[in-house]
Amino acid sequence: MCRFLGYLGSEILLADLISNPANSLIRQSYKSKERSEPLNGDGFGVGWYSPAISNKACVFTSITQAWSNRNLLNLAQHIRSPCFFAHVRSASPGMVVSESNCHPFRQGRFMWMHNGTIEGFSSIKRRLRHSLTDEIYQTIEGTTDSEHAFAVFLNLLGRHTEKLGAVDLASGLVKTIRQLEEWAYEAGIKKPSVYNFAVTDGESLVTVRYVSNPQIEPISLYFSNRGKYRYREGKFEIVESDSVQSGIIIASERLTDDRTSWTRVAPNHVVIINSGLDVVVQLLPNVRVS
Amino acid sequence: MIIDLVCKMEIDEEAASYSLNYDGKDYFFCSEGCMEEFTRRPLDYVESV
Repeated sequence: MCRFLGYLGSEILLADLISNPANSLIRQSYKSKERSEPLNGDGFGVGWYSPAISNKACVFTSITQAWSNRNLLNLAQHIRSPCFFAHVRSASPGMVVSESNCHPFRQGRFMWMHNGTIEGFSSIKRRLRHSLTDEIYQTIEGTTDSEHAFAVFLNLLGRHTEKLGAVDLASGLVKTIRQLEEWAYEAGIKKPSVYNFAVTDGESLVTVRYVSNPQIEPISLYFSNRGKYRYREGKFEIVESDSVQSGIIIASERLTDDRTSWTRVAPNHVVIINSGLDVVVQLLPNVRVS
Repeated sequence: MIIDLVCKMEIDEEAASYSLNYDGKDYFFCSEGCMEEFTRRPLDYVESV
């Protein structure tokens, strides 16, 4: 069911997120610690912002396994950015493995990733697509439930997205989940969906850990302390810092062994990180339809 | 106000709908999800106090 991470802060080397840490995302692609099935080998994707060039993200996806893609390993040693998304995929049964189905997805200023499943997606797909404006409908390139959820999010954000902040993105996420739950209810889908979504515009980052049935444990999700990232004595570590040279990671699994550097996101809570790296954790309002 | 140990949010003890007793002590939560999470791994949260 995939693994992902996001980063927001001062510029950092991509390798310090996806290959250098003890439990890096690339390690999670073949030896995930917090999934019953440890393999996430149905492709990968990385996305990053270069604010001096564009306010839109650059995204690189591939259907090869992340652990054996020498181009990824090489690029990661040479790309620095203040905002990254990275994702290793374990495709849901029946979903096509293709570059257009690899996360993160990009549209306008936004990037989007999903770890989870829209249960009964085929049963709600028609009404979902019907709800979209023509403009957003045309942006869908792949076949995944995740990309369709992104389209719903963009549709609910509306046309004027230039001045939206972290709180607006969080509000859009909540509306998206509520809409998906409403369609699932209308379609008579009983199995719970899992919506660990992450969205960024390169300046703010919002993520959510959600499952329809709160008695079921949602997929793991963490965020790091605000800090500096450095190697010391052969280990990658996070050192707390309020200075300009700091950042925050969100990740499906802790990247380092130091548990005190990480907070497990509570079930059905949203984590809102604004451009000043202030972190707010909020309980999702009731989005279940019954 | 008290702290929900799972999500670290401040909640009103009187208004908290979700609570349980663990090892002789009452704990309060903002939501069913947080209470279930505490039930799954209480030591993670009790030891963090």
